[in-house]
Amino acid sequence: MGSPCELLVETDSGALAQRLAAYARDEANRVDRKYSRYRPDSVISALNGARGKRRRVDEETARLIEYGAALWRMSEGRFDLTSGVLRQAWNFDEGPVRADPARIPALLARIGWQRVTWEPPFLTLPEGIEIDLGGIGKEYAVDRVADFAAAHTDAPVLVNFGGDLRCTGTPPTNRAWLVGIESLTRAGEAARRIELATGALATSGDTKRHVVIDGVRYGHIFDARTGWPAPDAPRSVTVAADTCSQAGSYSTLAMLRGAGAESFLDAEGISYWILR
Amino acid sequence: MQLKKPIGGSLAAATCGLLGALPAAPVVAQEAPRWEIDSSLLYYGEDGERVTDVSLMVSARRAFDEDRALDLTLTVDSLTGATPSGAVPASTVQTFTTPSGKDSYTVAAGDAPLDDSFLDTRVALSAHWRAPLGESMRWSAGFSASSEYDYLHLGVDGRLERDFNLKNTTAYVGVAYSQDDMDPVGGAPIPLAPMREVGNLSSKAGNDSKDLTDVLVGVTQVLSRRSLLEVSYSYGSSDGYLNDPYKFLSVVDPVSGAPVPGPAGSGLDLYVYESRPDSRTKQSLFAEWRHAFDRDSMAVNFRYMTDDWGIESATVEARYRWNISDRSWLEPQLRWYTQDAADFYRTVLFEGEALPRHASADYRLADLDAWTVGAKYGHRTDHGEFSVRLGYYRQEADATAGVAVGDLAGFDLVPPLTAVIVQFGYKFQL
Amino acid sequence: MTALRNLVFLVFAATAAACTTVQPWERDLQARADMQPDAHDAAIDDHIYFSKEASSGGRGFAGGGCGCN
Repeated sequence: MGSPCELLVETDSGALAQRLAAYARDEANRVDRKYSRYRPDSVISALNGARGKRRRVDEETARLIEYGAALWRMSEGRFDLTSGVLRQAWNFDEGPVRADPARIPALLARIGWQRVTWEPPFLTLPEGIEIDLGGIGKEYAVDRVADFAAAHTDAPVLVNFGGDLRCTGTPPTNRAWLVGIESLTRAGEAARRIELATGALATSGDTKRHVVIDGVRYGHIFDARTGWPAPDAPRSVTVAADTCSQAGSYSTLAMLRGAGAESFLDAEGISYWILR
Repeated sequence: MQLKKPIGGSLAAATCGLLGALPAAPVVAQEAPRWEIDSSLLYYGEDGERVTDVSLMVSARRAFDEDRALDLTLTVDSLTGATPSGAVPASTVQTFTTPSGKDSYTVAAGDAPLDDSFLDTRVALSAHWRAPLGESMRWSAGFSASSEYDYLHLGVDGRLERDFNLKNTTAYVGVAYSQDDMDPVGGAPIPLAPMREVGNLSSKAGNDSKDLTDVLVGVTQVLSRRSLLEVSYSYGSSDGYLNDPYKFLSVVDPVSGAPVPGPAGSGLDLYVYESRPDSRTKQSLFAEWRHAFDRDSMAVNFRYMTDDWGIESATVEARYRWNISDRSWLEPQLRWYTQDAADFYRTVLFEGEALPRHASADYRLADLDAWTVGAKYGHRTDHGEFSVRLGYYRQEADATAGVAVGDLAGFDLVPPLTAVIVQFGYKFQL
Repeated sequence: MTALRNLVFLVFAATAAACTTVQPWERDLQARADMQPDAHDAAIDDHIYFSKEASSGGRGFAGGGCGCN
């Protein structure tokens, strides 16, 4: 998953803790391998290498694509499973952060869910268009592990994959999990502290990955319609929701609203914490 | 600004499709409170016409994360009443000059001399910051200040803590320094100088100061899943004017026990201002054991103190916390204290004997035993926790050996002290 | 007093020998609110006893900052 993953459980049973931890590790690795764009044997690599041919996807992949397509509709095209090619203009992955905005117009021609033919379970990606499930895979894995834990024990469990987390079971001894939202200025320190008794929290932000061009800071969540991050996007958006997938989607879509992040989340009537 | 339809319903439906089902319990998340406030109103009342203290104390803690916090405490104290002056009763009326030197008061025959000009308001403030230092260490530093009309205290302190052995052991070391300035009413008395008549300040010499240094080292050790032991040693040294400027001693006839005449023309009997050494070093050993039962818990602590004034003391405190329900608890508390007298403690001085270098008749330096019996009741609501504490304090001095001569044999030279403690508390979060 | 002193050292010796490592997940009871020292009440008690007795501190710094003793 490229980030620290942890599972906390409050229990007397070492066996239960072992079983949950093993499932969490296996599931994180499974989802990561299956949907990694870097692994040639992954489902994503197979789809992206189809060269315009229609491919049948397995049931789980179909559910993820369907979810991504729903987000595309809900975000009016801001979120798009095919926007991964923007990485060629914005490289946040390794080494120094580089931006090459001149390449954006050419890349935009290769983005657009409306160009994809999705007739579940068959996906046809036109040549040059690539799909990436990275934006929803991590939260999905958290929910998978949390659902597994909830089905196996009433003990308090917290699943945390790189800051996107969900808890299940009864609340822990001190009535809630205490989760810190990292400060923008002081690494490792909490700017806000959230008490999570049940449900999920997910954070989108640019504290770790961003680039500054002409004094303007750009994060790593791009509006698929423009190829640029939304103007005046918050530095960090944390959202509380029933599942980690919902929390992660809300926080990503809020980032894509830029200056309108707060009004978007206010209209949803959910709890959120924004750092600017 | 166009109005957008919320996406909550569509997102829930999409998530249901992705995960198969939504969790039964909806999210419960809220920002953790930033401030924890602990406030209390204390009434402390001694029997007779002695001291009454009403004090309001508010502590506020702002936690920034698990290891980083700011602590602020404000205390406002209001003291009224009378306090023993150090003089002993006599079979005649005794006349004393007030500390200011502007007035005098009389004490009836047989009554314990109390100084009833005792009235004070004290404001104290302290602030401490606590932060981590690497993985297993923490430090804290702070200052304290307090002010009374005749007293100003300024102090700084620092502390370093380190965890060992999977946090089963925590060792700490602390240092505190303070500088206290006093400007007693009428001036600080010259030690062993006699009390003068109204308007004569020749036994007084302006203001004075003292400074205190404390060093503390300790260890907290987890003994088992249920028990914890804390042990600490502290060393304190104070230098400067350590007298209580309002305390003095009676000088009496060694046979009759009656007061002897004071300075010529003063019209007073002879009372001399106390004289304590100008330095004091003390060492304490403190141990506290806390134990958790399934529902209740208890704590017992012990302190041994010794100093170079010849005082040795022992204190034992115990409390049992009975967690009656999720919301309420009752905690009986018990405390026993005993101390030996300071080497220079003198209930009275006798005429004709050589004046000792140091002498004090302050009952707090006498051979004492004290008991506190009390209970605290607490009740938690959804908003905070209320508590009420009731305590009864009884202190008895043994200060008559060798001094109950003549008239003095018939008097209670250091009367026992009985006090009632009532404390209302409210703890809440903001 | 000597007897008391010996008792203190005896208690220390006994407890030092009895320590076992308690794992982080066995801290449920120690973490309970009623097992934490109450600094607020301790400060109030210190203030009362400081002004009535010859000893102070021990638990923490000797306190004072008060003309009452």
